[in-house]
Amino acid sequence: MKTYRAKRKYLSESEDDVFSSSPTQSPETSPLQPPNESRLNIKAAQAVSPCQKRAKVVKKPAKTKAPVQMTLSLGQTTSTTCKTCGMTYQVAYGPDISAHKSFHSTALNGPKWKPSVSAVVVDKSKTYTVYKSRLLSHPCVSQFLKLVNSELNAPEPILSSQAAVYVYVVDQRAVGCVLVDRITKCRHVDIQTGTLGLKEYPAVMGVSRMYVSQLFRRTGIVTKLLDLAKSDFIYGMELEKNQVAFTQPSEGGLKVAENWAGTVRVYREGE
Amino acid sequence: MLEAKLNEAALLKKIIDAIKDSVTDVNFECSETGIDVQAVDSSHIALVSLKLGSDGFSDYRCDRNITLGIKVASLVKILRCANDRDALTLMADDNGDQLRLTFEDSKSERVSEFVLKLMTIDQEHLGIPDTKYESDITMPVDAFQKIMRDMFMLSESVKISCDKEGVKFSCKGDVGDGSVLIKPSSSVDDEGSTTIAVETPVSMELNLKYLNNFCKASGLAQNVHLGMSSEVPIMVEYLLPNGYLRFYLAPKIGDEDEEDEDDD
Repeated sequence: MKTYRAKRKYLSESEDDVFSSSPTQSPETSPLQPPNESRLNIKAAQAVSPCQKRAKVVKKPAKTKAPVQMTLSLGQTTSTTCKTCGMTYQVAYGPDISAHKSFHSTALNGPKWKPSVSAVVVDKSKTYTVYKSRLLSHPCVSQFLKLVNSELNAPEPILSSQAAVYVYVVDQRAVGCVLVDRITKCRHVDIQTGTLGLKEYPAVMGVSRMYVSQLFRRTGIVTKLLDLAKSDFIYGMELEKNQVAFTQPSEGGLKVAENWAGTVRVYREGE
Repeated sequence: MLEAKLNEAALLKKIIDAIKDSVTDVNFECSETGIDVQAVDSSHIALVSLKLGSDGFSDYRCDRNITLGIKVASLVKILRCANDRDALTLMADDNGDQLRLTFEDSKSERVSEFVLKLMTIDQEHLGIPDTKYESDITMPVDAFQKIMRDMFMLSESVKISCDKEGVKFSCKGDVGDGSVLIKPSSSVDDEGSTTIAVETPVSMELNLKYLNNFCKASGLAQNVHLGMSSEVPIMVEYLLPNGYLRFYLAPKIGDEDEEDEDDD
């Protein structure tokens, strides 16, 4: 029965007249079916029309059943790049606009930080809290590190099991962080010439990533975190600034390092 | 170097007031032939196209093509300082970053000068295809404005259907439905007459918020011209002494197939 109906549908598409003029051919079907099928055919015909109209007007999807508002398509640029947060999005597309809004506020104010078992408070004042965490794979921490990494355009950091992250939190938003690791050796960089010294020096702490969200830059957050990490990273031991090295510093990162330590020492991740 | 003088500031004031709700930043492209403005609104649903021919100015000089990026809201502020009857002069240097506007009162010899800082707007000049519309309607501005205002009370969108009988504006709202039928006037010479030229009957649904914004240009002309073709943006045109102010609005299209595609 089912296969027969399917065949009839096929027939009615190709030989419409024949079918409608001889309804007695299929006595077992109810009289309600022919109008049903003819409606199906109309629908199929309608499906062609949206393609034609797109020649001039580009469709903008909406979830309501009401008529859909079209947008103009005159070859204008439909995407824009936000100058502040750097995100490229479609200007005339609702979901994109809201996606940009949420990304924009995250980039400017930092992502939400939910204190959990994975982090302990190491410094606290009226305006900020600094959390330290060694559980880098905990979702709460790893999500934040992932965002930092993509903001820095950096590859996945190669870390040992002793790595720790210091997160600077203002109003429950993680606005800055310093990711540090245990290292053994480093080299000296001449900033003026940009050359790497050949001699290897011993080192204890390597700064793998430093990040501060846009609105909080130039307020000394990283300096504060570096000072804290220097005295806190190795339990019971205050490190000298020349025992700290950096890796893959960006232009800004190099300036931070120079400002903080006076001379810049670098190391290679995973060595 | 651009130097353009208008005998009455009222014209520019009205134009800018008419477009200020539709677009925020516009590029004034000044060339030998006049000033062109083209801007798409932020949601890419409406487009404003303005042409002021050089003959429309009492004095016009533009040696080299200049693009003036103007924030409409700022220009509105400055133009508020001008009286309608003042003579207005626009001045800009070839590579300058400012536009100087002077307003001169012919009677009391008051000269006021204002400087507007320009901005760089990343918006290229779009080629609007010259379309032959299936239906052309010319009607008095106040009649059109009243219909748009009345419909907006009831609904968000209006359906404009046009055939040889006349043009019908209809809307469906939560509180009720409404429709206005305008028939072509019998005598064409009258000032407030409606003419309708229909090749193919057209019907389209349009967002009233945008149409009401367009209606703010009503002070600029006696008649408004609507160009409509099915599934092509409607053109709402106000003819200026030497140029035009055109608005294009993308229609709303609804049929069952749209819903299926949305699920993807």
